[in-house]
Amino acid sequence: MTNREKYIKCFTDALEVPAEGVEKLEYQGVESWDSVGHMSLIAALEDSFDIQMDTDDIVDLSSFAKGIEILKKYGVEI
Amino acid sequence: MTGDCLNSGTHRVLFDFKAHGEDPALVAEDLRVFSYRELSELSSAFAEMVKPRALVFMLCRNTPGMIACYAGLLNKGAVPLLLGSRIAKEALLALIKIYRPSYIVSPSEISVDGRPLLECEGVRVYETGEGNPPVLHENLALLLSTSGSTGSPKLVRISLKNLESNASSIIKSLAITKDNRAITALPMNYSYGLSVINTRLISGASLAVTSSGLMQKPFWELFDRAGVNSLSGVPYSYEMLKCLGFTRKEYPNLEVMDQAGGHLDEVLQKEFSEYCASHGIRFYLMYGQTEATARMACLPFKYAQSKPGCAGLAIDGGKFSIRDENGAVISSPSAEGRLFYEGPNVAMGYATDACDLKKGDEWRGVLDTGDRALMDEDGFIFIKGRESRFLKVYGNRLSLDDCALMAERYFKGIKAACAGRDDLVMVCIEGEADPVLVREYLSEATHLNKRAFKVAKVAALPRSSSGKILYRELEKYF
Repeated sequence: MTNREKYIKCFTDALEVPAEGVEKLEYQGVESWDSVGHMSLIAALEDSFDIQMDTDDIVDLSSFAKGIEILKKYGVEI
Repeated sequence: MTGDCLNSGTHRVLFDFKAHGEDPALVAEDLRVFSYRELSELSSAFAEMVKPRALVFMLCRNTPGMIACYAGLLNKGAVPLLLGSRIAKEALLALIKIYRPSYIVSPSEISVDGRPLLECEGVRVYETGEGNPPVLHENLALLLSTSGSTGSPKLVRISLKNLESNASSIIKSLAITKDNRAITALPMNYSYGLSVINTRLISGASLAVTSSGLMQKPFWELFDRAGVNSLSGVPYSYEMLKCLGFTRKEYPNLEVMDQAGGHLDEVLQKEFSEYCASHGIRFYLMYGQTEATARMACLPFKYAQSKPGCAGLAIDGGKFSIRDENGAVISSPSAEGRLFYEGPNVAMGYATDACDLKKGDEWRGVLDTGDRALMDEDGFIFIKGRESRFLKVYGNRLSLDDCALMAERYFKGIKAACAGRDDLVMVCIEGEADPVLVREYLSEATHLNKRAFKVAKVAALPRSSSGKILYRELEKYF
């Protein structure tokens, strides 16, 4: 699986949404991306890419696009 | 008539803002500071719009304007019902029909039916034009919902005496002084979140006010910039703090943390009590229910590590007893039984329709908590199990029976029954409905994440010979 595929799978699994339109997702933009969904998403990202994210980055990850930018800091290119 | 003299010219007020003059009361997200004098003026401006002894629905968001309005209404002697601003439209309309409020207060971005009287600090006050308002008992001061997420019509009736006594017990338990600065990490329409606000504004302390949650950047920006030194959370909040790596970081301002709203998982309790002990933070575990206005017990922080799983000692003015099935007090220590609480903060009773609002104190200071517990020789309470038909789902109180009823109303012809444990509602359905759709509907209607629900279709709901649903047997389907 490519990093991008893994990244998309984190969103579809954690937020229980279809892959279609996933690029446009934002925090609280869909019912399932609330604090509960966010915790599942962070856990999925940390597991999939074997990283431990900082508090500031966890609260900053407010969209699909923003996440790509943040993961760069951890040496993960999507 | 008792000492509560709301009808006389000298009615008591809960919040004496003027006594604290220019001291800071609220800090907004944009770091604007409202002094107690300014808060007093703002709350009076709202209070002037309404008649005393009127029923007011408040669709709450944690903003300075909303808090000022709430305080102004209470001081005026109007009776607010606090609801979440995300309440489903149908649920709100149903409540309006049942309780016939004279006014509705909402955040400016949510419009409701009625004549707008005032818009100030992002809060609008509407007059409904209700011609037949309900009669309110003279001691009734506040109404809180038993199950906010399902929009349940079952409310808890709270008096001024309840609010005053509970606030002063909590202030004493947590040693809250003027220097304390809390943050609104919980919704104000939830009894625990409201007690955070009441205790600070009564003791002359201050509050950073945000409607953002723990998983959002604006919350932590305000937390840092406003110099917050006190943080309250339900078990779910502590799960979020864990996810955020809270205990790997330093918060030099932080002096007090407290937890209530359900049982905190022992691993989390250990992690946070150790962190707090080594960082000089007082960590209090508390136990309460909306039916007791908010809090009933508090575990002093020096016991946080030595008495794991303990709900604490009764708060000042309160007393616990353990009783058997016949209601007789069990006096031998460490015997399990049903937990009763006695104290001035026990609410007046429930309301299920407008007629109930004229009722006086039905519970007379004694509350059957519905929980099973034991008391050790020193009077410390240990909760052993909850018998009530309520769950805490991600910090929201949810009635399992309401949840089943919602499913039955939406999916005509089915029978539903719910059981559950922390953060998981198990819904069994009998009849023609797709479990996937039932799950999606319940998540949408309650605004709770889909992860909270599991739905199973069964041939027949398990029932006793007399036809009662056997809730304990539902679990085997999950």
